[in-house]
Amino acid sequence: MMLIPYRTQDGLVQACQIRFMCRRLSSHSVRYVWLSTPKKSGDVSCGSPLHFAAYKAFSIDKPTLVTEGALKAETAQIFNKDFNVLASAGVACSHEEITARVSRIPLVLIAFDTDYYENHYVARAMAKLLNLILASNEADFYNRIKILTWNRKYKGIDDALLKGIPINSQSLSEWYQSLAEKCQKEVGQFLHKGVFTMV
Amino acid sequence: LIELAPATDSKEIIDGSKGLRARKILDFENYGALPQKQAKRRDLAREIRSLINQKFPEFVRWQKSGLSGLSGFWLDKAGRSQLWLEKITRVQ
Repeated sequence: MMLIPYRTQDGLVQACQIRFMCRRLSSHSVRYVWLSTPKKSGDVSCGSPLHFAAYKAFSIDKPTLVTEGALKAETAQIFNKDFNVLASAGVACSHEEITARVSRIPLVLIAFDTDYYENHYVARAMAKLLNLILASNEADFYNRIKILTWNRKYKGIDDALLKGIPINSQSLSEWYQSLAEKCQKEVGQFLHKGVFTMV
Repeated sequence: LIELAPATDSKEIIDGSKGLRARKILDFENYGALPQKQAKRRDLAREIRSLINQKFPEFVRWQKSGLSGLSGFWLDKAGRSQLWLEKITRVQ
């Protein structure tokens, strides 16, 4: 079982995830869990913090890539040394924390797993995050957010980078158009319609 | 914890198909290998509790134990230090 630290912008470990290294997991089991036992530890939980890859080089002047999972973030950082890379535990986690971190960043690159093309729950979670980021910033912020995409055969950006698959950047409008119809409906409920006409 | 249970203890974590090297992550010292066996995790918890008692006596004085407030650490009914779950089958 791998112990994966989640580090603050100052490099302090604020939580650890455990990755089960077995090849196959039984049904209903998960690959990652937090090193946390709130029921046994007097309700002390680690929460779901963000991870800052290469925290020493973090700067608000650099583009920031947002992904899910500390390991993905570390691999993405290795391939993109000029970017800040931060990770939440999943696409539905830590939206307010991400928004607070990227609000003054010149370019925000969203690079979550490609499930959002077909899975409307994932699409909804991503739309909620995008909506929160857009709502927290000036009107022109939509031009500073790009969605990174790659061949859907590769789920995570780390898989794509490690296999040398080209990574593309889409505007919010282009990304929306690329989604399955049921996912577009979900996204449309959360993102302001104007986003798709202004871009 | 990562220093006491380093990733280098596990070949699978370092060199496995989904291990660190395959992900081009080479700073192995930043990752750990949590033991599968509860007894080994208990040993780690005991060692960490002892270290906290030595290094942060002021903190410990005002707590139920040195492990208070540490996510994933707890005391069992016998007062023994424990780390994470008793049985991993609960999540796997």
